[in-house]
Amino acid sequence: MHNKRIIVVDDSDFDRGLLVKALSKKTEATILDANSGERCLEVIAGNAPDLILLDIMMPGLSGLETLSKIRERFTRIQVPVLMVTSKVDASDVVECLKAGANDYITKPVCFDVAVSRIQLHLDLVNVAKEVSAIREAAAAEAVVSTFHFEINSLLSAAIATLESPDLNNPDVKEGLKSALWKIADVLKSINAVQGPSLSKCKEVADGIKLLQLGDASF
Amino acid sequence: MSNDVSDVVFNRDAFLANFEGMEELVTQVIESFEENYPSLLARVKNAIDSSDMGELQISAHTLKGVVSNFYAEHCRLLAFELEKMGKEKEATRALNVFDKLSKEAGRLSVALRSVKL
Repeated sequence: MHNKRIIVVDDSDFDRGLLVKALSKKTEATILDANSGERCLEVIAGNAPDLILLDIMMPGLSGLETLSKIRERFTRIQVPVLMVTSKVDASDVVECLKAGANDYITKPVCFDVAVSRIQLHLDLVNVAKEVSAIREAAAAEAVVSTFHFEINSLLSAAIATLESPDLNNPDVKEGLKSALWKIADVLKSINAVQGPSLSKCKEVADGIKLLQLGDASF
Repeated sequence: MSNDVSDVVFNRDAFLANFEGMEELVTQVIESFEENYPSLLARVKNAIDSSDMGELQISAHTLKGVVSNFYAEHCRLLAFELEKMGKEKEATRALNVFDKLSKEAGRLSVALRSVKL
């Protein structure tokens, strides 16, 4: 949990202080605290934490209301939220999970369980990010394969034109020259794609579609 | 399991097990409880006196959370009873329950002194 920022939100000074101390002892994370939902929103406005432990029952903004505000800005993957509740608040827990909480821990907080749950959710975030990156890379690879196919088609057409008896026709010659330059431009665009940038690939793919339409008469 | 009298008031073994590896916090937590529980009780009492049911629910809930850290089941149940009274806006027996809670919290405070490391 090195370099991770965790916020403990609880209106009870005693419970909040205890959890902050225990987590500071048991993890290498930076543990911040907030004594209300309102204060939590102020803290995360400046810098998103890696995880939030949020008490359900608080005066002012309740845990559920605070959670809803958090979810307006951050998804479950961006900032996991673990609700902290007494064991009798089952219906509240269900409501919070439906509203976007990732999990919950019960009071009295067993610190080892809390640390394990926190670690689990930080790991899940990493896995989700990796899966997302893999998907994006696969999509980019598919787009690049399409580029190759389209370029080969254009090149085949260009090569065929080289063997045309009409090659001396200035219009055909100009068309061939233009197509070859366009192919070169597309290749340059593909080279400019750094890493699995799907949006950039799509941009280039759109360019190829325009090129095909432009060369329809060629 | 220890047969110490404090076990009646709270679960000493469960409490200490939670602090394994960070025993230095035990004394701090107990001292923090001794320092804070009178004001937590006063908050509950004020809520009852002023018939502020919302505040009774919250203040009793807070006290319930605090004593649950010591696995003080009797104390927790009394606080929970007051919390429910606040939630249901039905506090006719609140003073009676509060008196029991107050005594039980005092017993807890005394019992915890034997645990300070």
